[in-house]
Amino acid sequence: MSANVDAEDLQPPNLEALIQFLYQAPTGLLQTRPDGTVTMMNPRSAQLLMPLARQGNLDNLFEVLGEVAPDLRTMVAAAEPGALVCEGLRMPVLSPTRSRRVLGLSLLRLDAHTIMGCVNDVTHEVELEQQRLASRMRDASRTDSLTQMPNRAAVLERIQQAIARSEDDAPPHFAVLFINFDRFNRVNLTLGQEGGDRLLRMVAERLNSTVRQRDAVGSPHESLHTTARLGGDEFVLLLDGLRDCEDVHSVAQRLIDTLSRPYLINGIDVHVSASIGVVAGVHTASLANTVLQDASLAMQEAKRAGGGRHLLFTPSIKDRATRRGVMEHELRRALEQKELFVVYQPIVELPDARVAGFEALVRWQHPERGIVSPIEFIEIAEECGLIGALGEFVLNSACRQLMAWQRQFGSAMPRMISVNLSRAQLNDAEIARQVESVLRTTRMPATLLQLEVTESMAAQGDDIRTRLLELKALGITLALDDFGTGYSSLACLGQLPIDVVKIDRSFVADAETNLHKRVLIEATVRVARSLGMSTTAEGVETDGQATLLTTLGCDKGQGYLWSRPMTARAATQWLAAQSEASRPAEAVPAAAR
Amino acid sequence: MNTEHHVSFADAAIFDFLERADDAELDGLDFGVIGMDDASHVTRYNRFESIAAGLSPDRVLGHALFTVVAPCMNNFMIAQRFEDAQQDGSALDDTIDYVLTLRMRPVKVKLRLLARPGSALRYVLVHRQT
Repeated sequence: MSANVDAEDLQPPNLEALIQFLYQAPTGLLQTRPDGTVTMMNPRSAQLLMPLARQGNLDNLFEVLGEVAPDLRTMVAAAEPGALVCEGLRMPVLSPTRSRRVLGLSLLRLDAHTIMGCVNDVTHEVELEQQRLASRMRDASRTDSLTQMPNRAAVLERIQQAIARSEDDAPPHFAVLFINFDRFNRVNLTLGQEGGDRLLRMVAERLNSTVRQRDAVGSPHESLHTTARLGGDEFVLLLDGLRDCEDVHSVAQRLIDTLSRPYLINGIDVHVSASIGVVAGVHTASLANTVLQDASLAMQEAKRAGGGRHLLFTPSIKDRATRRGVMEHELRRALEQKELFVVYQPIVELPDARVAGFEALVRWQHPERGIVSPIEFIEIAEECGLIGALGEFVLNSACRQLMAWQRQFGSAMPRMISVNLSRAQLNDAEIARQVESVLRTTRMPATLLQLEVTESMAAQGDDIRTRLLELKALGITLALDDFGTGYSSLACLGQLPIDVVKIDRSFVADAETNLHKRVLIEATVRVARSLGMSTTAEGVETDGQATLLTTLGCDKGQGYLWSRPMTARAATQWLAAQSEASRPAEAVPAAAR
Repeated sequence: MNTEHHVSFADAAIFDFLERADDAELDGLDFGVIGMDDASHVTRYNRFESIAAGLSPDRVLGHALFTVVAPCMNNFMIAQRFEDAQQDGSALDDTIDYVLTLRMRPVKVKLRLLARPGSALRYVLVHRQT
C-alpha cells in the first residue's frame, strides 16, 4: 500500500514539485561520488561554491575545496556509510567583491557510492560569534576575576574620562582614592591564600556598599563613582561628579572606618586597617596612570605615618618619592661599591667604666654628600628589599671585628658586640638561620652577640615572638632598644623574651633635673632586675649623669662621655688605650721582670 | 535562412541577429538562447535550450529568469552584470565560464551575456561544453 502511494507520489507532477523544492531551497544542497565528482547540485550550492571554482568548474567538490579544506578527500574515504564526514566545517572564501565570506559545509556518507552535502553562508553567524567572544573577552579583560570589580584597565579608562571632562568644565570635580591594607601579608600568612581571597571579596563588598556604587563596566558618559581592584590588596575608588572636594575627606574617613571593622572568616574575627592616598582638586597630571601613581604615593606616605589613615597628595610627596628613588639607586650602588661601613660605640660597665662591649652602627660614605645617617637610608633599604644584604653586611663586619679584637686584646676585651635588627629583618622568617650562618663563618660564639630590637617591633605578635625565641635559642642576648619611646609599658616587659633593657637617651638627658624621668629610670631598673634583665643607659654625656645612673642601679652606659661611635681603626686604638690604662698595677712589675 | 543557421555562439554581430530573428531562426541554433525584457521576464526561449534544460517553453516564458526559472544565475556573475549594465545604461557583452544547475545537474557551460542600451530585450546565450 505504502509502496503504491510512494510510486504514485513520485510521478509527475509531484516529482517536478520535489525537484523545484530542492532547486529553490535557500540552502546549498549537493551530491557527489566518493571521488568528489558532483552528481547533483542546486543553484544555491553553485552560487556559494563558484568563487572557489577555477574557470567556473564545479565538476569535482574536492578540487573546488582543495585550498580551503585540503583534508576532505581523506575524511570522506575514512567515513563509514551512514556516518557524518564533517558538520559545519568552516571555510573562508574571498568573494570576487573582495568581501570575506565564510562557508559552512556538512557532508554525510550516504552509502558506498554517494555523499550528500549541505553548504551554507555562515558569515553572519561567524561575525556574531566573534562579536560575542570579543565582548566577553573585553569584559573579562576589564573585570577583576576575584571580586568581579572593574580592574586596572577599566578604572584607568574611567579616570582618563574624568580628566577629559575636567579639562572641559572648570573646576574639576573628581577624586581618586588609592586604598591599600596595612600589613596584609600577615593576614595572608595567617589565613592562607583561600582565606586571603575571601577577605578581599568581603572588602570589595564593603567598598561597594560604602560608596553606594552605581557603576558597572561600561556606561562611559555618565558621571559616576567607580570602585576597582588593581591586584593584591590594592583597590581604587574614583569619585566622579563631586560637589565639593571636601566630600573626599569624609568619604575617605568613612571607608577607613568601614574597612577596619572586623571580618569574620572561618569563625575568626580578622582585623585589618587600611591606608588611603587621595588625589583630589586641581591636579596637573593629564594621564590616568600618573594620577593613579600620585594617589599610590600618597597612600605610601599614609602608611609611613603609621597607617589606618588617609592623606591628600601634594607635590612635595612626589618630590620626596623622587628623592627616595634616587637614594634607593645610590644605596644599591653603595652596597656594591663598599661605601657602607660600620662604626663602633663603646658600652661600658657602671661605675668603673670598664669596656663591656660595642654597639655596631652602620654609616654610608656617600661620594658627594659625605656621611649619611642610617635614619635616612634604613627605611629605604627596608622598602626596596636591600635590608637583608645590608643587615648581613653589618652583622658580618661586627662579628669579624669582635673576633679580631679578642685575638688582639684577649677574650675579655671586649666581651660583647651589639647589632641592631631592623623591622624588616625581624619579619623575615629566615633571620635566625642567617644569624647562625654568620656566627659560623666568623667563628664567633653566640654568647658574644647581642641583637637590639625596638619595643614596637618586639611587641608585634606571635610570629615575631617566635623569631625572637629562635634567636635566643642560638644563645645570643636580646636587648630592647630605645625603651621608653614607644608603647612603653613596664607591665609588658616580662612578656618579652629579652635580656637587656636599653633606656632611651631622652630619659637620660634631663634625669638630673627632672624628677619624673629619674623615677621612671629607677622603676625600669627595678622591674628589669626583678625580671632577671640588666639595663644599659644610652646617651650618657656627663659625669653627673653617669653617677646618677650608677646610683639608680643601672648596669651599663653608652654615650659621648666615653666615646662617640668610631671607625674600626679608631676603636682599636681606643681599646688599646683602655687596655693599657686598665692593666693591673702588679702586672707591670711582673712584665718588667 | 540557411545562412542564419550558421550563426555561432561567438559571432560578433549576434545581437543584431537576435533582434531580428523569428522563433524558427532561434530554434535552428545549436546553442541555447534566453531573451528577457527589462523586468527580467523571459520572452524568448529557443528549442535547444528547452531540450538541454528539460524545461518546456510554457514553464519558462513569462516567468522571471533569475528568481523563478534559473536561480542558479541569480548572482553577482550574471544577474548583477545585467543589473549594472541597465543602471549604467551601458552595453554588455561578456562571455564567462559557468556551471548551470538546472534540474540539479551541474553542467559546465559558457555563458554569453548580452545587453544594449535602447534595446527592448537582453539575452543569455548558453553554450554547453562537452
